[in-house]
Formats: sequence, C-alpha cells, structure tokens
Amino acid sequence: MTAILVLPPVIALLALALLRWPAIQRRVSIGGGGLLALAAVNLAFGLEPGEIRVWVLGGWPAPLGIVWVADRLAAALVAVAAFVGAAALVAASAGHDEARQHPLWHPLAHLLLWAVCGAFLTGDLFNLFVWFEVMLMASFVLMALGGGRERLEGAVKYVAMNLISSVLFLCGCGILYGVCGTLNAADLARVIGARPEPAVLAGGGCLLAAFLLKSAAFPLFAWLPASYHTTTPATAALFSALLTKVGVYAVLRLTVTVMPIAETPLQPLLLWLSLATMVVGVLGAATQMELKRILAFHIISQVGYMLLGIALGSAPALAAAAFYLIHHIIVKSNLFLIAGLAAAQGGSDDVRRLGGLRQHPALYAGFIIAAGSLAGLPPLSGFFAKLATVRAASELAQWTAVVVALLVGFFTLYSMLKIHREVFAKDAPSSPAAASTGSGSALVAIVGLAAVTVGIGIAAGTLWRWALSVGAELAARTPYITAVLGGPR
Amino acid sequence: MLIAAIVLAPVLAAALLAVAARSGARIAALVAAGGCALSAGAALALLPSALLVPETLTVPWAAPLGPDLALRADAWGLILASLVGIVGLCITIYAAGYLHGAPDLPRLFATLLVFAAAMQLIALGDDPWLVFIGWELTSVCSYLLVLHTRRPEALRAATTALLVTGLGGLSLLGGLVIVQQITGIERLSELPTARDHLLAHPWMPAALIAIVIGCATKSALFPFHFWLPGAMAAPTPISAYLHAATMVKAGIFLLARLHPAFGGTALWEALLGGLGALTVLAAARRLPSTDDLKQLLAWSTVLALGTLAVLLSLDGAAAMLAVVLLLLAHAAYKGTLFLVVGAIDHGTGTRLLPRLGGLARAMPWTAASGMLGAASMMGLPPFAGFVAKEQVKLAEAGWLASSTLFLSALALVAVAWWVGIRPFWHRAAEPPLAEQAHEGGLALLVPTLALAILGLLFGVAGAWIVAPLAARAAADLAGSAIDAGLPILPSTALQAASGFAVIACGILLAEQRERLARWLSLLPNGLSARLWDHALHAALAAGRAVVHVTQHGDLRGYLGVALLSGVALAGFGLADIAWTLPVSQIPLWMWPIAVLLVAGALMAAAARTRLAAIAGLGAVGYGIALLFVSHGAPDLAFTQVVVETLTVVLFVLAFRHLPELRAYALLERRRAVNAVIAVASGAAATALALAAETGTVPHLGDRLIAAAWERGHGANAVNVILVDIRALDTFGEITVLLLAAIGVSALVTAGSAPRPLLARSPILSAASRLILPLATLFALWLWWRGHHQPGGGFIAGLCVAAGVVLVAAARGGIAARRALLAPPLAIAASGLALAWLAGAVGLIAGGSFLFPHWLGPFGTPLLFDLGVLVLVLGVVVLTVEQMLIAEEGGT
Repeated sequence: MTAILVLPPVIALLALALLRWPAIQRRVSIGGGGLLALAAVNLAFGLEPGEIRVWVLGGWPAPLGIVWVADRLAAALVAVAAFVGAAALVAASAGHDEARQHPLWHPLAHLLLWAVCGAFLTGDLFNLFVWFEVMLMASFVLMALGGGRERLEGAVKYVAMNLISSVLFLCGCGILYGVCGTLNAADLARVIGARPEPAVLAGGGCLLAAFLLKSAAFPLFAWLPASYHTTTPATAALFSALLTKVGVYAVLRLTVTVMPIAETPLQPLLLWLSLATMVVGVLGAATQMELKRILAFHIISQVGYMLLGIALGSAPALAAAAFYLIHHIIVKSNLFLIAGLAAAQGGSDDVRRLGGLRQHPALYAGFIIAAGSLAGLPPLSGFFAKLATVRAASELAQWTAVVVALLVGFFTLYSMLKIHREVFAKDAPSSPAAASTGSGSALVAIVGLAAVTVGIGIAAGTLWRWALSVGAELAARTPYITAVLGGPR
Repeated sequence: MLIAAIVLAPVLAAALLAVAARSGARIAALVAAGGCALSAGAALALLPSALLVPETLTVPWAAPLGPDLALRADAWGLILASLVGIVGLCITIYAAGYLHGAPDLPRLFATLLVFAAAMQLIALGDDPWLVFIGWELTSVCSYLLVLHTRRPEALRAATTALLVTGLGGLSLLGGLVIVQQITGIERLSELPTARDHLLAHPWMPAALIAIVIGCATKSALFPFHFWLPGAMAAPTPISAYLHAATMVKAGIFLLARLHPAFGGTALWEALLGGLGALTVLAAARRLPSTDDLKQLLAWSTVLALGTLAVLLSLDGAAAMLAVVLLLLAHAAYKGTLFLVVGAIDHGTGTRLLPRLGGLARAMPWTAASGMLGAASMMGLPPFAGFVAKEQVKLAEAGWLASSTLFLSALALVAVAWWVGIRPFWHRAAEPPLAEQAHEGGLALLVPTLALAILGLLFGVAGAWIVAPLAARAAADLAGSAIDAGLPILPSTALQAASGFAVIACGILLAEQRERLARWLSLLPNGLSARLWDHALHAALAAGRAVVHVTQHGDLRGYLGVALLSGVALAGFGLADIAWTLPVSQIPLWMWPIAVLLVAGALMAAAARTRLAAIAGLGAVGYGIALLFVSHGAPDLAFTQVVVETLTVVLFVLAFRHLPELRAYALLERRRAVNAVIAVASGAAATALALAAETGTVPHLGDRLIAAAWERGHGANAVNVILVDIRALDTFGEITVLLLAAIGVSALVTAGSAPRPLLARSPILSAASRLILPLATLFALWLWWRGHHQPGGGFIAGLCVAAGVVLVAAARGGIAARRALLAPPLAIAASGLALAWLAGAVGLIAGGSFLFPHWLGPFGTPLLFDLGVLVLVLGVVVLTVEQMLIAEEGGT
C-alpha cells in the first residue's frame, strides 16, 4: 500500500520537472504507471481470503488519525484502476491523441490515478472528501486542457455540478461528525449500527446525493454527457474507467458499510433510481450518432446496473455489483480508446461519416470483444456481470428489476450494433482520410484491455467465487469494523 | 472424448483459419470442410452409445454463476449434432465453389466454423447457461454472415435479425433464470425430475412464456417470423445452412428438450399450438405472392417451423417422433432445394420464378437434385419426407392442429413444385435464359446431390438406421416409449390414395399461383414487421425526449436539480426530526452574524454588476470568519479573511478580461422556481446544522487536543491536526492547489486588452522593495510559531504571496517574477516535493508515510508545514501573475 500512496506524487513531480523533454517524460510516466500497477496487483493478489489490511497513517490510530483499509474489493478496484491507468498512459502517447501534445497531461493523469486509488483505499470519510477534491481538480484541468469553446463549456458544467456534490459531501460529513462524533468509516459504522437514526439518515442522505452525482445516476448525470465527448481518447478512457466508478464505490461503502439503508426509505429509492438510470442512459445512447456521446450515455446506463446490485443489498447482489465494477472499468475505457482511434482513422466522430474499419484487424477484434462484452454477449465478461445482477434480482423476487435489466441489455445491443454496422461493417462513405500514423501504442492498450475482457470471461468462475465472498464480507459489515477498530497493526 | 471432439473440431479449425488469415480461399474451404467432417464423424461415431447410456463430459468452469462445460450426447442432441456436421460439410464445399472470388473468404469460413461449434453447444450442452452461450453465439454469427456482402439491405436485415433474436435471447435468459430459481437444477437432463415442483410454482407461467418467446424469435415463429425472409440477403449457402437446416431449428430443438418438463400443460399447448398455427397461416399467406425462389424457400421454412411448433404442442410419443422425423427430413430437403436455387442463380443470374423454365436440358444434375428434394418435400415414398408425413398423421391432434397440419402439407407440396420442378420442366418463359444456363461445376453439384441422396437414404434406410435413434429421441422427449417401426412405403391402398390425393391437390393449387396470390392479397400482411418498427421508433422517440428533458444544456437547471436532489435525500431523515430541532438553543449573538450572511447572499443574488456580486460574497466570507472567531478558532478566521481578500483581488483581476455582465432576462416563473430551490436548500442546510447538534456521542475533539499535545508536541491543536494527525488530508489539499496552479498556467492566456490595474506609483514601487523581505520574515515567524500558537504554513505562504503580489502590482508581473528567482509553478511543485520529503522521512524513520519524527524542536511536521508555505506561495503568485503578465504581453 505504501507504494500506492508514495509513488504517484513522485512520478507526477518528475513529469512536471521533465516538461521540456516530452519523450523522456512519456517514458518516465509510463514506467511509473507500470510500477503503480504492479504494486496494486501485488496488493490485490497478496490478500488472503477474508483478510482486511489496515494501514495506520503517521502512526495515529483510528479513529483519531487517518487509516487506509484494503479489503479485497478495494484492493481489486485499485489494481484494475491502476492497470487501466497504465493502459491509458500508454495510449496517450499515440500520434492521433491530442494528449500527446500536452506535456502537462502526464502529471495530471498520475495525480488523478493517485486520488482514485486513495478514494478506494481510504477508511476515513473526510479523507475521501480530500481525494474527491484532488480527483475533481485533476479531471477538470485534464478536461479543459487544450482549450476550445466546446471543451471549456463542458468542463465548466462538469466542475459546477461537481462542486454541488462537494458541498453536499461536506454537509453530510458535518452532520455525521456532529451526531456520531467521528468520521472514521468503521467507527461511524459501529456507532450507527444496523438502523440509522433520523439525524444520521439526513446526513447520509446528503452524502448519498453527493455520491450519486459523482456516479452520474439519474437525475444527476447531466454533467457527464455534457463533458466527456469533448475530451481526448486517452483522457476519456481514464475518466470513463475511474470517475463514476469511484462514485459507485462510495455509494456502496456508504449504504452498505457505514450506514446500512436496508431498513430505510432510501433503499427502495435507490432501487428505483438505479432502474431509472439504466433506462434513461440507454435510451439516450440509442438516439446519439457520435461515438463518444453514445459511449458517454452508456456509462450512465451501466452505472445503473451497479447501483441496482448495491440497492438490492444481498450478498450475491453486492457480489454482482463488484463483478460489474471490475468488468465495466476495463470494457468502457477500451471502448473510448477504440472510439478515439476509429474517429482518428475516419476523420470524424459521427458514425454516419465513418466506415470500412473492419480492414483494421486489431481494432476490429478489440471492438468486437469490448462491444460484445458491453452488450452482454456470452461468453464475455459483460454477460456474466449481467447474469449475476439478474440472478441476484430474481432471488429477491424483484421482477421489475429483472425485466428492466434485460430490456436495457437489448438497447445496449442496439447501440453497439449501430456502431458496428456504421463504423466497421459498411464501406467507408468517402475516400478514407489520411490514415493517422503512430497509433501503435493505442492499439497495444486496446488489445491488452480486450485480452483482460476475454480473460475475465474465461476465469468467470474463479472471479465469481471471489466476488461472492467479497459480497458476503460486505454484507456482514463486522469484518470491516473489527479489522479497523479491533486490532490495527 | 469423442463428445468433446464434436465441439472442438470446428473451434480448432476456426482458430487455424484465424492464425492463417491470409491463406487462399481453397485452403480455407478445405480447413472448414475438415472441421465439419471431423465434427460430423465424431457425432456419428457416438450414435450407438446414445441408444444405451449417453456419454457425458463435465469440465468445471463458471459455476455457480454461469455454466460448467457440461456436455451430454443423448439421441436428440446427437441427431442435431450429426445434422450440423453433415450439412456443414456439404455447405462448405458448396460455398467454396459458389463464393469463388468473393472477398474475405477465410473470415467467412472461420465465422461459419464458430457458428457450427456454437450449434453443437446447443445440441449437446447439458448446462442451461452453456446452451444459452451457444444460442447467443449463433445469433451473432448469423449477423456477421448475413452482412457479409455489406450491401445496405444486408446490413439492415442482419441488424433486424440480431435485434429480434437478441431480444428473444434476453427473454430466454430471463426464463432460464426463473426456472433455475424455482427448481435449483444445474443440468437440463435433470429438468424432468423437477416437473411437478415446477408446474406447481406460481412463477411457472412467466418462465414458460419467456422461454417460448425466446425460442419463437430464434425459430421464426409468429410474430417474430419477419426477420427470416430478410436474412435471405446472406449468400445462399449460408442461408441454406443457418436459415433452413440448423440455426432456425434451435428454438424447436430447445422447446422439445423442455417438453418433458412443460409438455401437456394447457399453457404449453395454447402457446405452441397458437403460435404454430399463426405462423403457418402467416407463411401460407405469403407463399403464392413470392416470386423470388429463395424468399419462397424462406417462407416455406417459416411454414415448416410453424408446423413443428404445432406438433410440439401435442402430447404423446407419436407427436414427438413426428417432430424428430420432420426436423430431419426438412433439413435434408430444404438444404437440397436451397443449394438448387443457388445453382440456378449461379447458372442463370436470376431467382425469379416467372422468368425461369426449361432448365432441365442445360442443368441436368441440378434438375435431378431438385426433383429428389421436391419428392421428399412433397412426401413421396420412399423419401424421408414420406416417412415424416406418415408419422405426422399418427400424432393425436385436435381439429385446429389437424387442419393446420393439413394446410401445411398442401403448402409444402406447392413450394416443392415451384422450386424443385417448375424451373426445370416448365415451358421456358425466356428461351435465351434457358439456353445460356449452365451447371456450376463439381463443387456445386456434389454437395447438392449428396444432400438430396441423404434425403432418400433417411427414407429407405430409415427402418434400420434412423428409426431406433429417432424412437429413442422421441421417447426421451415424450417421457414414454414408442415402437419404432417406420414405413418406407404406404401399407394400405387407402393410405397411398390419400397421400397422392394431397399431393395432387397441392400441385393443382400450385398451378393456380397468380389467382391464389390475388385472393390472398385481401388478407393483412406484414403486421408484425410494422409493429416491430413502430416499437423501435417509439423507443427512439422516448430517447430523444429523455435527452431533450435531461440534457437541455442550461447549467442553472442542472444545478437546481442537483440541489433539490440533495434536499430530497436529506429530507427522508429530516422529516422525522424537523419539529424537534433545537431552534431555541441558538445563541443570541449568532443572529446578527446569520443576518449578515443572509444579507450578503441576497446581495450577491440580486446584484446587477459583477463587483456588487463579489461584494455580497465577500460579506458572506467575512461573516464566516466571524463564526470561526466566535467558536475559538482564530487561525481559521485569519486565514478565511486573507483568502477572502485575495479572492476578491483575483475576481477583480479576472473581471477585466470578461465582457460586460449580461443581464439575464429570466422569466418570472423561472425566478420563482429559483427562489424555491434557494429557500429549500437554505432551510435544509439550517435544519442539518441544527440536527448536527443533537448528537449524544462524545466527539473526538477533546481527545484530539490531548493527543496533539502529548504525541504531536504542539499546543496549537489545529496546526497539529493539519500537519501531523491528518497530514494526509493536507497533503491532498495542497495537491489540489498545485493542480489548480497547473490549470491556471495551462488555461489562462492573454485575452482582450484589459484596463490597467493601478496607476504605477513610485512610492508604492519603492515600498514594495522593502515590504517583500519584511513579509518573508514575518511569514517565517508565523510558520515557526504555528505549531504552538496561531499561525502555520498556509497563512505564512499567503503573507509572502501578498508581498509578491504587491511587487507585481507596483512594478509589473515580470519584475515580480524576477524577485522570486524561480518560476512560480516550480516553486509550487517544490512545495509539494518538500511535503512529500517530510512524509518520506517518516516512512524511513518511523515505518509509515508521514510518521512524525522529531529531533529536539525540529520535526518532520515542521518540514511538512514549510512545504505548505512554499506551495501556497507558488500557487497564489502564479495565479495573480499569470493575469498580470498576460496583460503586459497583451499591451
């Protein structure tokens, strides 16, 4: 865990120092990203079943100081985030990516990754707020980098709405501290117990609103389609993989670990919001004609699936949400990279003006795998994620959720077919634009991420057994609390 | 192991093709044929075992979520598996000749092989999820194969086909999930044992309906049948394989597998009987008016599938045997006729029935195949079609099923006449066309003839080879044994006469094609396809409405929704305690501050100029500083005041780059809405603040103060918390500042020529030289004492920054930069580096990042605080300077 905390700021500072030597900077940055991914994977695979590793920062024990807590969910998410981060860093050196022209991109990306890892690992509510702020500022600058009216307009909407989220987050922190006297997640969970009292529920409601906004849930998602399509491919890959997923993770930690919502009115509310998120996102995507806009709306709809798992709240449902998170991070970032490369090859982001890209074997294969997975086609990762969610819902006899989840799958298929038909299958409408050169590094990232998607499908049994034990651990709550408060090392 | 070979042979062949993507079409065809042949051979070799104990194979995979690789070679499965292999072999050879010279052939063959493997999963899979995987893969392969020509209509048809079957796939998935939920079974072969439990369950109808919808989409049953004729945009051999012989049978196949579990229930009979009858009617309606031979075959496939569904709806082993035999016979004769049509197309360049005739002379072998296929389709003895038809007669059917079956028999005769006989033996409509026609070579002839002879063999050798197997399959599907004495020839004169009478009627009807078409055109047509289009369009319209409502682009609307959502979510808790909040405990002195805050906010909201708005916000900021003072936090208050002042300066600097404030002409109603949002947010925030006071748990605060003194060596608890106890928070927050600085340096560029900030004053200029060193000294003092008394790195950094800003204001940004010795971004970054260093020392000395390490009065927390100082200095100076330098460059 130390490396995850210590390494990224150093890499970012080095990258800042190397602003004038972009070639060296890229190498240092990619190397640093690789190291971070190694450290994160090492952490994730080093955890025994049921082990929760607690790290007391600065030697100040919980609840006085800040602790980082790596249970298996957090560790796995950090590993996946760091892996995708490394892939995005590699892809950012591709010739068609505007990110290559910006020496400031790399330090910002490392700080963003750092904040995301911190958000996954922290066991303290206020520390989470800090990571959210770092994430917000890093992503805002990344988004606005390069300027241009459309980009700045999107970035302003993004930052303005997210500031509301910050305000709500702070309000929630304040009231929880006032009522419970602590901001350590485990300590809060201990004080709150299984049934939150009204004042706690009010504070938790503020936090939930803040996190739902971060997750781009209905009706708080407007910032996402307003801004994502303006970013460069590598930036979009980073954002799509990480930002909303941190929000979803925060919702999970809040409503499962810290303040169980099972017996509160927030539970049915979250359930309906998740369904609305799925439907609205997918219908929005079905009407779009630009690659990145289609994909941006699909993030929203997929977030709905994850929130559904959280709202259902049973151990298999939480397992499904965990599975979904991991699958989705890989697939979505890959689709954005693919969309970026496809748009560069065809000279447009509008699917109607693209075509003929099936001649690109690696890009085509990457798309088939990533899009098929997103659409839930077996035997790819998305199929298992969807199956897990649907089965969890049916176990609880939530038939509306089952039907909605399946129907949303249909429209996801519709969107992916639209992209396949227009961009890959049909012939290019005009003479192909000058093929961009130097996109090899993006292809490396695309193929690597696609390989992981296939791998998740092949190892679905192993991963599901892992997810089930994670779900059981989450639903039980006590392992987390005792690990932090009982006997920190 | 043979059972694995059935599935793996095509997969390995496909992998081989993928590796050798640049191999020629001929080699690709050979590899594909080899894969199919191996698969077929393995299936045939397993046939004897199916009559005794079915071979099984289980490899653990994704249980308990998804499938294990569980295969089971029972009679029913092997029948389909053999078909897939044998027909696949014929098709690949045919395709090599038919598609000679077409682009991307290796890719086509690889897709075909993946399809074959997926079909074998459906045939042999014993795990429901494994079957589902095969099911979806066949849909996807069909999509890729149909759009292979990439003509626009092929793209459209392929998409529609995949959407329809994809929707059905999801429905099937839902049904399987429910069945699994009810019964808990892991294997399809265990399903019959759970029959009673399943049928008694209240969710059974939902599961059955969902499964039937899934199978109906795949097997082109009404109302989902419309995708199949469209899919004829595929190359003909593909249509023959997927859309006649194998894939469209998958739905019927799976329904038959489920017959032991659901068969005999009223819902089962109603669903399958009803859908089957409607399908037969819908297909019969279209047959006479279809000119294209391939479309004709497609509609007759729909008809046959409807017939199979009707037979499935019946109970008893006789009906099941009829299903098995008809499925076999249909695959053989329909495959033959498709290939015949392909050969006609290849030899004449047209598939239109009215233009064709007299081809027998030019295409004798094709004519022979056509005749054999047609004979089987009509049900002439001793062909497979006859055997199947005789068995259909034995099924115990009610009047509706009987009449549907009779209609279907008539229609099949007519289609056989049109496709297999008429183009060859009818008088030539266009003599030149008939004369120029030619055979297509061995690659086309051999597979066609082979399939045709297969149809004959099924019939002739049926009693010995097919019968035991079919009987075994039927017994499995029906749950009761059946005697397997299949006739090759009619046993009585009456039987023979009735059979020939039906055929004669069919041919007579066939000769009245135009008249039939005219009569039938009075019936409605294409309803379900239109319904499908309307539904999709409605969904898209809903999507557009959703985007219109939620993505209107007006930020104020977005913010309002966000605020209201927060209020609503907090409201669930607040509603219970709203009337018990301790309003009376608010101290009196708080009220004037509250009034100041509210007044400031109102002023900002009502302001007509930016300056007025900033003044209002400033009032709010200073009010908050007062709050800090009243709660005994002078550091915070001091910092707040400085930050507030600096913010105002920055705003003023920034404003000079902005155009005049546009008066937002808000509608009255919009104003009212905004007011409601504002009041609701304010009320909720107030209530939350009051609710926070209701806590009974002792706060950490007292423990923190004690800890700060004992372990943190500092009397100023706020500072100890910032640089030691919660140093990581501070580390993150200063990173935010650094990020902001990066953003400013990247984004703030010279805009329009701004108005000058201050008149340059020599006095100020001289004073600034003095003030900067003084400010620096003062800042160092603040930093040093911060650990025990009010002060600290943050406020110290602001002090130095204020000095630099003064220099900048007095002598310009470039002079200020010279005074700093280093670029501000570098200063800011080195601040973060210092803080990191302090943490790293703790890591080395104390074993944990940011662990405090003290040497006398010097400790890493002080170094950390110095980092904060430097960073704040860099950030503030950078921000102010960037604007000043930008305008110096601009003017």
